[in-house]
Amino acid sequence: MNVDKKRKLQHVLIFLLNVPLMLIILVPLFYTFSISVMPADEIYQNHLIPTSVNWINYIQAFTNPYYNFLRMIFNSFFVSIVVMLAQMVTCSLAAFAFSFLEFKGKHVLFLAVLATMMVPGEVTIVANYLTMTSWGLLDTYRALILPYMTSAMGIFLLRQYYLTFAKELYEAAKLDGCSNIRFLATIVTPLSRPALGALGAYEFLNTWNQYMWPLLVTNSKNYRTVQIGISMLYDIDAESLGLMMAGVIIVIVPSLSIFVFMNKQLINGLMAGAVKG
Amino acid sequence: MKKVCMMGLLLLVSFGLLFAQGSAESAPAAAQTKKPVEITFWHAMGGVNGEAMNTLVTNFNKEYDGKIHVTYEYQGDYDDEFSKIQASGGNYPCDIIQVYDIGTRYMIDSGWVKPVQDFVDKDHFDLAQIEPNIAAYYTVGGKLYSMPFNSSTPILYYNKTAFDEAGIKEVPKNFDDIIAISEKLKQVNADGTVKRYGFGMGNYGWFFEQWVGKMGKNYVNNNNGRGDKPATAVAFDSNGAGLQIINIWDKLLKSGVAPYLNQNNADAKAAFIAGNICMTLESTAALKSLLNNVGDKFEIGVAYFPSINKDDVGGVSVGGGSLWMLDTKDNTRMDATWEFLKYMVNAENQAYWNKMTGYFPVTTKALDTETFKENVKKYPQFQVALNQLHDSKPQYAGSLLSVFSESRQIVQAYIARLANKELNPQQTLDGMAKDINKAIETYNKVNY
Amino acid sequence: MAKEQKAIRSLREKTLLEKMEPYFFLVPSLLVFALFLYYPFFHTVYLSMFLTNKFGKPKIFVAFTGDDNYLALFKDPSFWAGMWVTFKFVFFVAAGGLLIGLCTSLLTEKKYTGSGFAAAVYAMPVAIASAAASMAFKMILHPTNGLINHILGTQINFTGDKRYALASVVCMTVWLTSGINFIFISSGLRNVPQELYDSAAVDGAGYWRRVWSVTIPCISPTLFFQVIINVINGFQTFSQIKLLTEGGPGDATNVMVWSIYKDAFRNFRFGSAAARSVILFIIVLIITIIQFGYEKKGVNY
Repeated sequence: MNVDKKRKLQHVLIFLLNVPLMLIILVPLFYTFSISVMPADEIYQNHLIPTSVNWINYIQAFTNPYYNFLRMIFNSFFVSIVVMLAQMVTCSLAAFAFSFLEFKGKHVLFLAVLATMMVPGEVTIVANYLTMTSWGLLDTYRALILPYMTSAMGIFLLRQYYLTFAKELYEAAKLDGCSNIRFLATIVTPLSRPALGALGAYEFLNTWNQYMWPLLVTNSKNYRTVQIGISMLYDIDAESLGLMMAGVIIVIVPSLSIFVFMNKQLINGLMAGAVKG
Repeated sequence: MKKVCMMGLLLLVSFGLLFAQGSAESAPAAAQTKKPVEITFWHAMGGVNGEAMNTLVTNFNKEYDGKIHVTYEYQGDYDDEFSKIQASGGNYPCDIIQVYDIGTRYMIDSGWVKPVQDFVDKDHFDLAQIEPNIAAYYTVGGKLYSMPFNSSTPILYYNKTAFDEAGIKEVPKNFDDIIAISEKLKQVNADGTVKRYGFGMGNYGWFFEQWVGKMGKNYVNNNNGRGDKPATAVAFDSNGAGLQIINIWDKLLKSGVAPYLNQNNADAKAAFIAGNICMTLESTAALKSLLNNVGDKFEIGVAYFPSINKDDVGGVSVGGGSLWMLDTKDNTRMDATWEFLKYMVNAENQAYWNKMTGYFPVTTKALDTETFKENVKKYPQFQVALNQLHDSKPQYAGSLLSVFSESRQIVQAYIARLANKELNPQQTLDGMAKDINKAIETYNKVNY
Repeated sequence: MAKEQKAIRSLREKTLLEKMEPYFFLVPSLLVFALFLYYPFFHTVYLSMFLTNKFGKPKIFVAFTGDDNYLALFKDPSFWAGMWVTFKFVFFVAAGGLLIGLCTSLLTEKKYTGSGFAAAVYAMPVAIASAAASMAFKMILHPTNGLINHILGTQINFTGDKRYALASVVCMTVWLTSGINFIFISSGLRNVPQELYDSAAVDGAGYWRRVWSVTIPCISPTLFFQVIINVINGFQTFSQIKLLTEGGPGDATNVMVWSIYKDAFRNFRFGSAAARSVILFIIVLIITIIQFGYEKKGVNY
């Protein structure tokens, strides 16, 4: 009984330790939400908690045909999911080569891959925009997806993860006559659920949060994504801060749900006994 | 194996969707005997301004149904939109684009635009119906290049309630007045922190340019950038305007009259709305949103943009944006564009635009409409702004500079350093002039 | 029979197909990189050798001359100030993010009531885009009526006072990136074999001892990865600078990517922006190579 009580006490203490950190994370988010439901004249008065809750900003954002949020949410979802899946595939393939296989130029190529992360975005964005223009791909889903079908970070992440696998696993599979691709697909990938899950969630959110690239390569309502939607709610002169914050919250909800979903998959995958050999 | 199949299938479906979408786009429209002319309009209006823009264009499309159809697309804020047109202007991605004031010289020099003057002449459009002081800004060498659309001037906003409480009856006209009044308005807490300042403003390059104009002086040389040759150097150092402005900044900050409220206007606006400063400078376009955000807390008064010195003679010039027609060489589309431009500046629409956003009506006849008259009755502050515009003269139209964006940044950066006590006023002036001149020189070397 | 033959073959020399096989694995990724990263980058290097006109077209070849873009940068004190600011920024953001990520991961490592909720909270910042977060923080950091000033009872100008500007942007960025640090380090923590913990417990090791000797070495690949990512992302931080400080006041937050953007998109000097980009690239490359040098030493697989 005492051990139980001690344990419970420990748990409570640990939870309490969490509280300050949680507050730091939550307060700005809560404040954003507060602003979105506050009456307009209260926004500049430092109130963390609004005196009255008014959903008009949300109604505006969803019903005003000018904003078209539902379509933008769909576009962002579609693009983010495709990019996420594509990256999972291309990065697994490349990471596999870099971790399990031996070949000439392995180190140089790996560095070349990493180097792509170091090219400042502002540099590539205009050149890629012109490339898309010359291919006639402006205002299409392809323009939003193609440049992001792989990521150096994904390759790097998976490579690190694959390196933690025991070498014997690979050798045993090879002796059994398993081809590389089969090994990757049937053995490595199921065991990589945590890393793949983390990568997937991260890349989904990265794509979801993109602003400048979708702004450049899309023009019409049909292909615009959510971050552009948020910026549409704000104007330097008209300054509708409440409206814009409503947009921010609207857009966080789907991204958070995807993340929670991916997280659950991760945990389930682990519980299902995917224990490393 | 199953997993790979699943993944593969999923990817396949996704790609299928991708390309299905692609082919759907290119499916030919049903054959019509007469299709409306399709033109594309790029703009940078968000928030309630964007919604007002939406209404105007939707109405146009209704009125010209079957004849002309305008697709309007938001392209980010002015800066992002400008980046986009810079990258793609040569490909004529749209027919009309709204560009901010400081992009004027760039657009003129780009070779992509068809001067609106050409259509004015062709159509015998009565240019006098456009406010002369506004048109002057976009006119170079007698040619009107773009159609003014959303213009604003800077004004002084003040907390009338606080003024009344402090017994201030006269509205300040220059900075001597402002500093004198601020003494009465300042409130200090028991612990020494300031509860309320008399005055505060954002570190905004536009104001600097406006003050130079209010002194009747030039910002840059070669007739303020409007001469035959483009500007080659700044003029505000040699004509003394710059130093006077910087000295006022210095005085305001050092004497504790005003807090430093960062670059651009967001923080100054927020401070004014919250009642932490009783006077501020902002564009007329912010009037509507200020009224909304302040609500019943206090009464907003509006006055002319203050001059630096008591005896300055000059006037303000406009800011905001204008509509540019791209020279797509397609006459049908350009004619349709011209129709659209005329529509956007007709009296009723400009009155509506003014009512919803606070930008000036660029058309003189708009002042006669019921919409405008009612709006002004409800918000007499609009009238003050209009009076200020009418009191200015075309010769104070403001400068044109290819590197305006950069020069504005440089001005702001140096004022920020002054505010942080890194430099004294003379050093600030010298630094500004040196950096801007260098920028102009570099630009001229490669572009002219 | 076939199986043995295959096995024997793996001990013998590889066939041509087998030699080429690894490269096939790399083709999809390398193709994307070639089109969308290598090509623009080489174009950038090319541009950096010219003075460009306002459309970004190279006009005057200036490499190795007195007007060389690189030389102009090296002579500009603002450039060096910006580089120093960038290093400071990246260091604190990377270290801060890692530290917070580690703390939050350790705090939610075990299951207890509320641990799931806490984990969800810690991960939340990934869902908010940097531009959106910057707008919110602009309000929070307001000089006269921001939330923080309200709570502290001060009137500090967080984004306009050169003493606080960099720190404010760093804190905001750490807040934003705490989520991703948490996600990755957490996933790394899940892979620490329970047996190691058990044997440490048997040896009588306390919590902190255990963390130091078991947890950290086991997640060293993850930590290594996270440091590299944080550093690289730190160098690329842009939205916050654009919306909160615009590089100011003076050069207090003038990070290199901001100068690149300014040069390219506000000042129409693509050649100079290109030169800055190349320099930035080289710097990040060198730093990453150095970090990989440490991989041998500190990281266990």
